[in-house]
Amino acid sequence: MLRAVTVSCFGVDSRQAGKDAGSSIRDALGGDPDLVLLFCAAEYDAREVIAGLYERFAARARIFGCSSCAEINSEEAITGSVTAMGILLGEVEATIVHARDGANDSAAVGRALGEALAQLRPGLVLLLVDGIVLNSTPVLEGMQSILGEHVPIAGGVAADALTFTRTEEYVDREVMTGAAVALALSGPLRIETVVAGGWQAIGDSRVITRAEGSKTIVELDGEPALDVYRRYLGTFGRDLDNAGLEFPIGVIAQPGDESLAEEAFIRAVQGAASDGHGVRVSGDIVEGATVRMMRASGDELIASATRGVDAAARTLREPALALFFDCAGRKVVLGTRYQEELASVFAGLPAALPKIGFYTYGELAPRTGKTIHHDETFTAVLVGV
Amino acid sequence: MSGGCERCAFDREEPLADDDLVEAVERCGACPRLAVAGERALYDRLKAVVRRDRESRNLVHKRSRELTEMKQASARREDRLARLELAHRVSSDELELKSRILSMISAIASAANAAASLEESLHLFLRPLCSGLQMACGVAVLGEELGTHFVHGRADPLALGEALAALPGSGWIELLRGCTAPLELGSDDPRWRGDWLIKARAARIRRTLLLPVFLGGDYLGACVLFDTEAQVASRPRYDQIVAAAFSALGAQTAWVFARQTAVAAHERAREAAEGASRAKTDFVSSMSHELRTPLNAILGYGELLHEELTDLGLGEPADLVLKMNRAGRHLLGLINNILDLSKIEAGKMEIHDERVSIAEIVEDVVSTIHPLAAANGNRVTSRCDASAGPFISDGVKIRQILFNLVGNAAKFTHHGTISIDATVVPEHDRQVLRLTVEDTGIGMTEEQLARVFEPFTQADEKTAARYGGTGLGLTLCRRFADLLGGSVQATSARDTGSRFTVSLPIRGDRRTV
Repeated sequence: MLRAVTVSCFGVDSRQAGKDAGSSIRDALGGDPDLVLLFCAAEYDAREVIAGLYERFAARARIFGCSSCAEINSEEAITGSVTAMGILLGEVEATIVHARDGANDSAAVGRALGEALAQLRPGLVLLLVDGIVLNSTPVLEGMQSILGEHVPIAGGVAADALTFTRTEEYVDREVMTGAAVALALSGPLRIETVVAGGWQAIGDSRVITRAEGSKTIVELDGEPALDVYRRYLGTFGRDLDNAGLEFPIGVIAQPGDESLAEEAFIRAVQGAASDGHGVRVSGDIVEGATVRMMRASGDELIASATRGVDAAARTLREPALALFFDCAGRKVVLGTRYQEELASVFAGLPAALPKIGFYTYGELAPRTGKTIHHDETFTAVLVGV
Repeated sequence: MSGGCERCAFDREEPLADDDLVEAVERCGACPRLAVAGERALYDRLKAVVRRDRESRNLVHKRSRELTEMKQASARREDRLARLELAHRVSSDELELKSRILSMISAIASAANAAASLEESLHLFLRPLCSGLQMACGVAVLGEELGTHFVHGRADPLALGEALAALPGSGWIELLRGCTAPLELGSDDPRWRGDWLIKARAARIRRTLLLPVFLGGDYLGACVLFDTEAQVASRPRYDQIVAAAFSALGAQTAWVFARQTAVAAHERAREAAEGASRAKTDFVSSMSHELRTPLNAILGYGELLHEELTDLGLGEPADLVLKMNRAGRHLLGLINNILDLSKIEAGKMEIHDERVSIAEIVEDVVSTIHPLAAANGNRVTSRCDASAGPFISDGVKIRQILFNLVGNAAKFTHHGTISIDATVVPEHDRQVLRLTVEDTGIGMTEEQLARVFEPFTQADEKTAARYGGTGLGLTLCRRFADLLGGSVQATSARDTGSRFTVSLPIRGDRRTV
């Protein structure tokens, strides 16, 4: 029987926070967990937190996690915590693998992870990718090239406190940066995934007529992309750092991809390209794709996430635990209302359901059967046994 | 922690923290030292305290963390509010400046519209300039001549008058000559000369602004403004207003100049057109005389010739001469009509008032027209209002109008009826003679009717060929009616007939009253 409990600890002393979290988990589970999912705010020293945890746990407890922008526990979304879910796996088997590459070759990292998991038939793979030095789309595609496209992968891109300087990935006592870590769960698993945007398209459709690399839109309909974007933003355009999150770009059609007719995927705008004409976006884009400017009201973001989870909860009865990968950008857009989103989502789930998650720099979730990278999106996985 | 009792948690040299102690004991399992009931109770209490301590410590940190978050959010909001306030202030300042500039420019434009000359426009610009730039007074300069001045307020008019009188010796003209853009001078500027400085000080003039006005790149004049304040409130704003004023002056002066030029050109064009028209009228009337005299001679001799040939019994040549004479008379009629029309156009057609009996005129016209009517098998009826006693008007013209109308009716009617009706009716507070000529002839379409009074218009070329006529008859009717202060109206229906109604105001003949 799978059992889980989530605790969040705060404090100035990282080790003490780790010890407190460990004690609380042990108290709730009545012993050591088999597996710990751990999300730490960037202000904590993760090595100390993990040392603290192992002061309380036996060495056989596995730790899997990454740094986060904000955390989600069973009750609420919070900022600046050490949040950990202790799990007694029961009949479920967990395999943890990680990969790094000296040249930061994201696709190679993805393939290495795929190969390490190739012998398994996982019911769910959780993937956490470094948010600064790796690019999650090639990691994902590298993995999918080995495991096949239809293995359900969920997860997110590790984050920091919106400084975009350093993100970390954890496996047991090891705290890495520039790595991707994967947790494969095998056994009698039922899963239901949620992808919710809540963004509304504004203005005309435009085609990316020129792109540079995978993350810079140089021209839209032959016009410098930054001009087009600023024109849409009007006075908001003065502050691209904030406006880029509030007014992302929605990819509504892409060469060779029919599925986009149903729902666009979102790319946050990170700022002007170094040439001063292009626009840098957070996720991969391709030349020839059709995009529209997006905007959202806070209410619509919240309502969309709630609808998504409510629908999943109707399909998957009696979940054992729930995982949430919510975009840090949505937290920024919602501002002081960010906790309302999770509060509204949780209202539709059993209060006793163990929940954990974090605010990411990119979400990984299946969309029409295949996992892709999302931006500014709320994603969730309900797991039943 | 490895646990076990190899090193008892209670016996460490450095005592463990409470939570670490509890954790160590828990891992130990059944510690013999806690087998004693009292010890066990104390340990359980410690365990509960440790948990409560952890929970409350965590809560404190969480609350403190939340407080930090709230403080940051509040700081961000305040920051945003401050930015918004700044943006708001900046934009309302901009708006106020723009509206001030706009109202000054529109006042300058109104002044330019009102000005009859360039000199006047420079004077009229002074008020909007002084009020827009908040200057105390201004002087218009045309070329290098000081013109009128305008006092906006504040300045002492007497002292100001003296200062302006001192201006000619002050070197201002040299300053203005080198000036291609607005030039501002303090009253202590070393470029001033003469006793201007003293007079300016007496008039409390602290600052002078020279606004030169150029027309097509050439210096035209200037508006010179004076102020009693040495400093302006905001230099960047003031500079913007000065720049707007300078360009508005240039644009509006060019507009005044263009308007003057256009008015002059229009005047010349009108004179030329009037001259041409007079020349045409003179030509036509003199030509008509030149034509009529020999034509009359031809007609006279032609009639004589016709009589001679008839007397000699030469029927055939006599008929030819008859046709020739008929053509000549037609030509004479045409020339007469042209002469009348050109007289009217030249304003030389005069009205000769006389005692008129409409009954006599109708009777006369009917008898004159009788042969023509009879030739087309038409019946002519006439009715004269018994009350239409003699009145005063131009009988010759009335006769001519009636003759033309009845002649037309007879010409365009075959085997039909021509009715003439003459009545005098009161209209408003005067008497009006109403002459109606109605026929049952070929009539006109609406289109033809619309053009019936235009010269040289007949129904169509075929009509002209078949019915003859000069095409000037109805035109003359209308012109004569206009001349007499009346009007002609026509109604008609194709193949049914036409009806012409002439209304002419008349005066009663005192002798009959």
